[in-house]
Amino acid sequence: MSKPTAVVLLCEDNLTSVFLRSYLKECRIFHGVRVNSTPSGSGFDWVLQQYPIEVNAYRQSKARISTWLIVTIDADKKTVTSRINQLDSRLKQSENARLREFCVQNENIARLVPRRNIETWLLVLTGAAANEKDDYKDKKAREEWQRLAKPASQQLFAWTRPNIQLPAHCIESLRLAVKELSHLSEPTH
Amino acid sequence: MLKRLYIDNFRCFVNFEYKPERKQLLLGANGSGKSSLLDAILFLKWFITGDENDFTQKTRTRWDPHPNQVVELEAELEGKTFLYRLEIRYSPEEQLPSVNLEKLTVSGTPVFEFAGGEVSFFANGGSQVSSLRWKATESALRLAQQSNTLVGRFLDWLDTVHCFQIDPYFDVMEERADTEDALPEYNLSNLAPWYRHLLLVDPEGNARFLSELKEALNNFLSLRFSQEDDGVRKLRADFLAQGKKRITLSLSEFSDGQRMLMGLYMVLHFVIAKGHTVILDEPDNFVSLREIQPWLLAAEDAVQESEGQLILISHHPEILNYWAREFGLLFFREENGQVRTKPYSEVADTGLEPAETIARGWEDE
Repeated sequence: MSKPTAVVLLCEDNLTSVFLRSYLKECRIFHGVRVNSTPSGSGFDWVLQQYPIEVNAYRQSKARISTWLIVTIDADKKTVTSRINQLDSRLKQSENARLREFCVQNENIARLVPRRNIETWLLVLTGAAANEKDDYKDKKAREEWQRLAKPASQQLFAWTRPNIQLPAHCIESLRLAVKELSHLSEPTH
Repeated sequence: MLKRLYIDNFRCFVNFEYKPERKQLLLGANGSGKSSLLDAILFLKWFITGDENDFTQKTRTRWDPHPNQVVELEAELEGKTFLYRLEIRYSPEEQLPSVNLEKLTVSGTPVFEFAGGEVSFFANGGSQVSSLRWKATESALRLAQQSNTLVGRFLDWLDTVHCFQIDPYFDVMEERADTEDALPEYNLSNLAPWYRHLLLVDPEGNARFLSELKEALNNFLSLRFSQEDDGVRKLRADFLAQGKKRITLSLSEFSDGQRMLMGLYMVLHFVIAKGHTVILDEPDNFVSLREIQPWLLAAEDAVQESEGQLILISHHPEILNYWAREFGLLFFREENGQVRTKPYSEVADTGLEPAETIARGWEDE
């Protein structure tokens, strides 16, 4: 039997999965990654619905193994803060007392909110000019976006190294993501 | 990359066109034509390479009286469109079907043609240079390799198109490696002879393969060939047993699932990671639930890195739920029996996962 899962990715789509797994490889995490990506319907709804389930599973398993939970949810037209609040309220409203204990910031849980979506980050990370208001999703074909995933992940890894001064063109949602990823301590499996 | 496949009068395919993507999941009920699509490509490869001819009367569409069977392959190579067309004619008077037309064009210019028993050779510029009479029951494409380098290019590419239906039963998957095989069989029956070849030609790929296999197979250490008393070489694997003892198992002593996993990771590292086109039928067979997604993610990454192509045929929930939404192509039969396809979609946003939707028959046919 293969080794237990060390990193769980909860994300909206395949492009995000490809991008984050490429980032994990930069972090020298090659195995033990489990992806829970939207199988159908709205990616946003799926992530919100799965989030308390994954946090609960994370808190159950962390006594046995050190894992990461990386959650990605697009901001779309909202702000990063409003999306984080939506995630938080899913835990606060839960009947499960373990979820209502509010300590996500102290755990190996990273909540990434690309604004407007992951395509915006891929552009910024590969040096293209992009802002958080415009939607770039339809500007390239799917294969072209997928090709950007690797160079973008290499840049993200460079930006999450200690004592890095982020460049001026780095957008706010990405700055917050770098902070989230930087606080994760090494998983084991 | 394989860009298009056209099949007419082959099993359940009538005037059927398929344009594969870089990553694709073929799904649909049993008998909807998924595996037959793989067979059409496989039979075509065997026909062109001269290995065997599986285009027989039985492969014709039962309800189609038309005597001609057609398979077309289109590939995009170095910015050029290679279009290969094979027309096979069946007649009640002749035992063996004959080639009505075999033709290869590159961006519209003919580079090879075989019709009426006569092969026409074209130079790289497109002008006909010579002709030859040839047996109408065999492909003549290989004969044209010398006259036109583009024919050689197409044949080289065809070697990188692989159709797999891995069969891990111990009496199928050979552990003896008396020889080296440069290419894998469609069912990996020659896994050991193929691995023996790979050890010599791709030591770096082998290192990556073994490292991945250590993650996938519990307590697995390494692979090696043993020299038996009768001089035969057999593929063996070392595992760590209780008390840190090393035990050796021959391939036939593996479980079916272990042989399947080994085959899957060989396909991943020695085929998919090389940028080849792979059509893989039911990679989830025999494999435990925990082992499917790690392989699928690694295969997806390999396609991404190598710019290869991976087309999976599967009914497994793990694969359906991960790929159906974005890469799913649903095969279904029309009332007249013909196969048609459409991108996977759901009737409405039910919130159900694709595997659950399909289990209920609620996919949007």
